[in-house]
Amino acid sequence: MRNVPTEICDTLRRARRLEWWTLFWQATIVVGMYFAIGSSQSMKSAWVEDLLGLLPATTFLIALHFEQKRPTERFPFGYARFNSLAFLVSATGLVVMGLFLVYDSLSKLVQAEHPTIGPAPFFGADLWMGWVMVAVLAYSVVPPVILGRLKIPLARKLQDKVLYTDALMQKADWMTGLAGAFGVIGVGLGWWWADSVAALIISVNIINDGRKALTISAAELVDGTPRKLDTNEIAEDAKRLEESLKADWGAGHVKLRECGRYIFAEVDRLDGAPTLDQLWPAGQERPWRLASVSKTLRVRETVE
Amino acid sequence: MKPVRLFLPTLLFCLAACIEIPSDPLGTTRNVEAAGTMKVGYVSGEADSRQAEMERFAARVAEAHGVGIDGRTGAEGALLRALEEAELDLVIGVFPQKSPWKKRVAFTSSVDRPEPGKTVPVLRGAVHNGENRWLLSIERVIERDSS
Repeated sequence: MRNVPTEICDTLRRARRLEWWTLFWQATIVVGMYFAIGSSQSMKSAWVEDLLGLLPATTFLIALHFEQKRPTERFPFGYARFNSLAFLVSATGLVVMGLFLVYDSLSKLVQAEHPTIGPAPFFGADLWMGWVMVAVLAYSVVPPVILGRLKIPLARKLQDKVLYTDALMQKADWMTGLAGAFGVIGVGLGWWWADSVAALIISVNIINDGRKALTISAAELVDGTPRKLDTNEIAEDAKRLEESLKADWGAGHVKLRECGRYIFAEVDRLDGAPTLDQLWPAGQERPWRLASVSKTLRVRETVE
Repeated sequence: MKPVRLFLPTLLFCLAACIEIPSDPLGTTRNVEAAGTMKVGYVSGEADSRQAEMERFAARVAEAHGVGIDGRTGAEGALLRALEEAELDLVIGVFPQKSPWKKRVAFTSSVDRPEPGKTVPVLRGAVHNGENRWLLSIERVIERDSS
């Protein structure tokens, strides 16, 4: 690991390893589902969600690659913000795909399309393809649940929004798998609408994932105050840092923004010549989060 | 209620559901067996040998369900539209896998195994979309005869 704080090197390595595993397992799911889709709408939606599930892991790996690059003449502030840009792109992809799937499944529901799920040759016998679909969906639930659980503590330690969103998406995958299986079994029971309803639930889930990610990444790109990992609220450590800069170091006005996992501060004045570690509020975890404090001539009061 | 108490009814429900899966939303299999007759459409314009093959195929399907045949001959479009309206249970004709009707009705696999290229017209059946139990039963007849 280059150009990253030494405190988080090991955790970053673990996260990188997990993301490679995610790509591998997710790829096996995507390939397996591709061959089992048939004409089931819920299988199609679940397949798209699993395909999109590759995005955050890919985004994380690309962003981490750039994060380690040294600043250049053309990019003097480095590439920490690449993470936010990649995050925005993948979030937009999620929302667009989710909207398409909502349209697709709603139109099939309105047209009262009866999905046909035919036979699948299985050791010389004709097995109903729906059982193959249910088996693939059941398999698609297992790796994301395990990987998602492993990623959450790492994401918190690294304050990595891409990793956290990835973990949440994977946690949500069990729902997709169950909804898809419900749709297929519903079709099997003769409830033609079950497939489209399940697809609709999955699509709304995709849009929700995308909307959350879009809000957080947009806030970061327009230099919003650092947000919590899972919501659009201001991060606790950012609040404490602002209070501490004002109370302990004589800063009048403070502005905080976030680039990837790092916080950048602008203050109008600062008492003494403290180090970054000293500026980080006592008792707060992750002092490496504070990447820079700049004294600027004019720092306007932050609007409430 | 404790989860353990729920387990047995859930298991029984699942087993019962397994027997019923797949079902037909329009109940074609049940209706055919209850009526004792299968309404079949034979696509006209085929050679005599094909007509005989179509009738043999229909007879095998009917035999598997223990029912008789109420057959009629007509143009492809008219028969497939009647199938869409659930006025027929099965249409037999020479269709390619990539038929323009593919989204509106469900085709069985080729009666003459192995399945040729997707654009090659071969003898196959067509059923109403979503009638999965009915479709599966016809596929089993085709599979049994080919083996």
